[in-house]
This record gives sequence, C-alpha cells and structure tokens, in this order.
Amino acid sequence: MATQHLDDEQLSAYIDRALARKDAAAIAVHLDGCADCASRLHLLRATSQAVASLPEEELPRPLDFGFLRDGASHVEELDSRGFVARVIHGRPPSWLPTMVAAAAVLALVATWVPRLVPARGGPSQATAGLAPATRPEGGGASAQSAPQGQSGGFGLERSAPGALSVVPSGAPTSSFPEAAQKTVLGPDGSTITLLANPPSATTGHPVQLLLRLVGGPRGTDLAPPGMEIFAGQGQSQLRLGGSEGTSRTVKSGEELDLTVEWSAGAIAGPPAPGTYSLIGRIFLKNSTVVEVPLTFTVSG
Amino acid sequence: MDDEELLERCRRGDGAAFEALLLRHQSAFFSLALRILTNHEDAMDALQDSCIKAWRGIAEQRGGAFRSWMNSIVARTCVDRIRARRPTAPLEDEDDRVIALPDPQPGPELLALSRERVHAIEVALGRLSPDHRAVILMRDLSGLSYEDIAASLELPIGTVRSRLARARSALQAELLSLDPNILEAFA
Repeated sequence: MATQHLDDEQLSAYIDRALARKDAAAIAVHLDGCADCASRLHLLRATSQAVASLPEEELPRPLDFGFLRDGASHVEELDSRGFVARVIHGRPPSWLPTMVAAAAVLALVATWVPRLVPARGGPSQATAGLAPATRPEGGGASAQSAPQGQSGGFGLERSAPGALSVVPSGAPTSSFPEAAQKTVLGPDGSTITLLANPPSATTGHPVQLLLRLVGGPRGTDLAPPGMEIFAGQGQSQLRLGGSEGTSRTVKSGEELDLTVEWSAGAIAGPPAPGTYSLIGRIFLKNSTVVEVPLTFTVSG
Repeated sequence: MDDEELLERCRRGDGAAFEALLLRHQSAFFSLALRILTNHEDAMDALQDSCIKAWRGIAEQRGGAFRSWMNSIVARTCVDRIRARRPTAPLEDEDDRVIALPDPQPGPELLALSRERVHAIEVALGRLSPDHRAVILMRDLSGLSYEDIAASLELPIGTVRSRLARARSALQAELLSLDPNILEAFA
C-alpha cells in the first residue's frame, strides 16, 4: 500500500500526460494501490472535462475586418538577400476632437545600446553580406551618403503632415543621460517628446532600441496594438518590435517600455551602414496614431 | 483550402486568407475570450484586438497550427486587459477571487440540465482568479500545450504546471459547492 499520497500537481500533469514516462509509470503504480489518490484523480479529470465541455459561443456581432484594408494592411517584399521588408499602406485618421479632452504627454525614446562582441567577431566580419539588408530599391543613395565613422545625428522629421508641428527642443527630462530631445505638438495641445541616446554606434554590434511612452496628467489611452517600432529606409519599413500596452490607460508618470533588438525577428544581423529612420508609432484610441520618424545613421 | 494553406497565404500578405481563417475559427476564439473575461463586450473587444495583433505578426508566424497560435494571442490579450483593468492587483495573487458572473435566478431556458451545467461551470470559473481562469481555459478548453501556455503568458513551464493544478483544484471546489453531484456527469 502506498504511504505517501500524490499531490495535485502530479495528478494534474498525469491527466495531461505531461510527465516523463518513468514518472508517469510510478504514478500509475501508486494509483493502482491507493483508492484515495485514484478518487482525487477521478474528480480532477472530471473537472478538466467539465471545462472542455463548454460549448462554443457565437459572436454578438461580426468582426470588423477594416484593419485589413486600412491602417494595418501590408505587403511583404523580399530583398535580394531574403530579408523581409514590410511596407505599410494607409494611415489612420489624424487627431480627433476627442483627444482634446485627453491632454497627455507622450515621450518617445529611441536609444541604441551597442553590445561588445568578441574580438574575432568584429564589425567587418559581422556585417559581411548584410550591408544592403534593409536597403530598398532606389534607396541606396541615401544610405551610401552616410558618413562613415560619424556619430549618428538625430533629427526630427515631420510626420503625419498637417497633424504635427516641430518646436525647439528643451532640456532632457529622461533618466537617460545626455539624451537628445525634441518635442512636437499636436493641434489639441498634446505633447510628444522624443529622446534619443546615445547618438553613436557602429555596425557589428546588436543594436537595442527602446521606445518609451510616458503618460500625461490625464492619462493616455492606448489602443491596440499600442506601440510599435519600425526601422525605415526609403519606402521600406522593417518592424522591429511587437505591440505593447494594448488597450490600457497610461497614468501620469507611468512609463511603458518596448525594447527590441535589431538582431531579432526577421532582421538576422546587425544594421548595415547607412541612414535609417527609427519610426515609433503610438496607437491611441479612436484609430488615432502618433507617428514620428527619428533619423539616425549607422557608421561602419 | 486547409488552415495551413491559408496561413501561408496570410504570411504573404493575403488579407482575404486571414479573414477566411478567422471566420472559420472565430467562435472558438470568442469562446476563449468570453470565458476568461466573463463579459461579451470585453470579449468582443479583446478578440478584435487579437485579430489586429495577429495580422501584424503573422509574417513572423512560423510552424504550428493557426488555431493554437491565435488562441495564445487571444488568451494573452485577455490577460493584458485584465491587468489593465486592475493595474494594482497582481494577477499572481492566488487568493484573489473575482466574482465576475452574477448568479441570476434561473429562467426557463436554464432549466434544461445541460444548460444548468454550463451555467454552473461558468459561475465557478468566474469565481476563480483571472490567472487561474486563464490557464485552465487555455489548457482544457483550447487544448494548448504547456509550452504554448508558458510562451503566451511568459511563464516558466513549472509555473504553468503548478498554476494549472491549483486552478483545477479551485475549480473543482467551486463546482462542488454549487452542485455536489455536478462532476458525476463528466466522470
């Protein structure tokens, strides 16, 4: 007769056949000789089956597939080296009047953090074969014009023409030292602050990009998918980050970070030398999007 | 056309294929969202959000069935919504019980035995913590593997295993408190 009863975790995993064969065999032997554990297993399995018996429910209304045709539609293009370049078509509508009531402060931080790699994996070796990875057809001139060895300068470009205006930068407020900062204003008075740090990196190192959103005094209502980061060159854009902060309200002072590595996902290597736009998109409710590209240069 | 063929088309940016896949499985996805969130409107919103997320990420989807992949997105979206709803209450609080489902007087339509059982299961699930509810639904309703659940909820597999065991025990206790004989129907 068994002397030590099985615990719920063992029984639960046994039901799911999630145990190693040896462990499952030992439990089966125990169950043969222990009516108490066998009874508990019986109840636990019935509980699992009760959940599984729940019927499927019909949707109360049809799904809206407008996103397939409007703001989120995409086509993929493979460049000559097999990298995926995603071109985003369409733009969500510009600022809506409802945003006036939701005065908020958004801070978009873009920073890269070069990581040292072993000496044998130096820049020239690491970038071999990867240089034009994200360079679109016809976009080479811009990339080629990037000064080699230059510290990457950060410049703010207008985004969503007609919706945003650029104002002079103020002192950095971020916890990131020496961060460059610029601020853009929306027509409703909402403020978007861009910070970037540090402005230099070389190829051959994984690059970490950080998008930061700081909530305003009255909260900033994010809509799905919240935030995304793209690297753009010419008309091509590569999505570097997933979504974050879905459908949440950012409280005053609360910060949401979305950190992605350039080497992640479809982009399998370090950035090639050239000029890129780091594009941060923050999706607000009512299909409003804030999009600001931040130009930066990767030196060899 | 089977799911895999449609999925491959989706990866190439075919929106019609994505729509077809969603329409094929939307009831299952909605059911998962509804059971986790316990509210039709919230579930509908979560499913809509999940569709957008899935479309944005489908180019990177590699391997695995669409249904499992989408179920993971739906579950994660629901959990995120619960977190956003109650930002100061950690989901990991195992003792936190949310009674989200009212227990109305049964109407005539609930007199049928099967409907009563379904209703009791829904009430019992509604009394679990969101963490427990999500993990047990992902496993027992949607059939996700421990690995899929762990990836979706960003938890170690060991945590998934222990949490699932606790969730089942808690649900069992709730079911038996509602109806001491209810589990006999599933034995």
